[in-house]
Amino acid sequence: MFGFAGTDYEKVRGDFRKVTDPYSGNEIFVVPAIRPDWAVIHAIRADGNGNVVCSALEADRLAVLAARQAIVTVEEVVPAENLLARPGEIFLSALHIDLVVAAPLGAHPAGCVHSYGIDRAHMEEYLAASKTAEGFSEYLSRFVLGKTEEEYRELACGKAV
Amino acid sequence: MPLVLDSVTPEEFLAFQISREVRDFERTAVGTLSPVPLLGVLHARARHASHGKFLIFGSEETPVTDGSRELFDLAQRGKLDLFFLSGAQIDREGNINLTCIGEYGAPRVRLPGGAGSAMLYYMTRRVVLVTLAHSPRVFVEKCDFITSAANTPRYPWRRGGPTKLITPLCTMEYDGAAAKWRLASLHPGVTYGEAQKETGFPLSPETAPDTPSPSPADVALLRAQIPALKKSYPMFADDLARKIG
Repeated sequence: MFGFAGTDYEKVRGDFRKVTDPYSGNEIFVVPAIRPDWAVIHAIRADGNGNVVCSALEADRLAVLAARQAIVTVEEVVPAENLLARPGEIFLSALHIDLVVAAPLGAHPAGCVHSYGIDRAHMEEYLAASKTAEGFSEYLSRFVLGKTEEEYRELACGKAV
Repeated sequence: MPLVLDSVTPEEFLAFQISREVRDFERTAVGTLSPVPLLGVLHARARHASHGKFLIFGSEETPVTDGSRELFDLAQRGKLDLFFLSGAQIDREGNINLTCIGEYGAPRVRLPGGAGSAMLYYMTRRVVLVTLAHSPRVFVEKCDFITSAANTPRYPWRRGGPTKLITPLCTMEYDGAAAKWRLASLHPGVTYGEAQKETGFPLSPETAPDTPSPSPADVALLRAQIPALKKSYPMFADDLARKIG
């Protein structure tokens, strides 16, 4: 990793180590690899073989590649010939994925590239509710706890679709 | 006496042995120039490994977008369970030569090279070696050039390495602690003496069970894979179809 030297991160990130680049002789910082146990991402579509197309705008694909195990939820399952990644999307081989789950509107209340945007009203409702522990509990009871995926969509996503 | 087979071609017999190395729920990759391993892997997928993930050269089922880099990264991250390699030379300690015959500086034969095999031999959990030639030229005491190293006591860490060797005469298992091959089975009609005569290092033990032959159902299942095999290896698949008649 270039740069970094002289910043206060040097004091707080003991796991970043300074080594000598054997080629240039310069001192440089190295960073340990991040190995999440799980990556769970929401992607745009999958084919029957479990290959997916996900957003190219976030680090979703990188997270899946880094993790020991990965679950990908998708908006829809399409025939293999319709899986092609468009601009803003990127292909991710089934090779890297442990489980694919069809979950329409699975990113709600956040957005999903080329499918739907962020549900701003719901997001604001959530932000207001989560200011207090009680509000957060109420929010969970209303939308999440004991609710099926279908019930969540009915309760929360009406405005988003 | 050489390999004696009834109602199955040598290629199918070897592919069946490969199939037995493939486990369900694992990630298995088949590289280039590996038609027999691919036939075995396709058979395994159809028979007992339907939940596995298969990175198959030329297949569109699980395509990759970063070419061989995506396979190499997968292996280095510890997600490749099974891979197949071969060698122009395979030595007593399990090392492989894919680089040159003779001195590196003045080789008698310059081979295509190892591609990622120097790393894959370390980072794949199990590597099965497959060779279609069993002779003292292939099975040597020491490789002229070690392209992929099996026995490396000074190296700090390896995830896997060779586990099995499948040849036209026999199968061997790799004994990691002793850093050498151990005869595991002899193919139908092959004697220990013949296998030893064709091997340029001592083969032990001197007795080994018969290598199991595929059942008629397994042979039928192997043959049912020919259309899929043809997508990656059209000439090999056509030749095999002709042999079967």
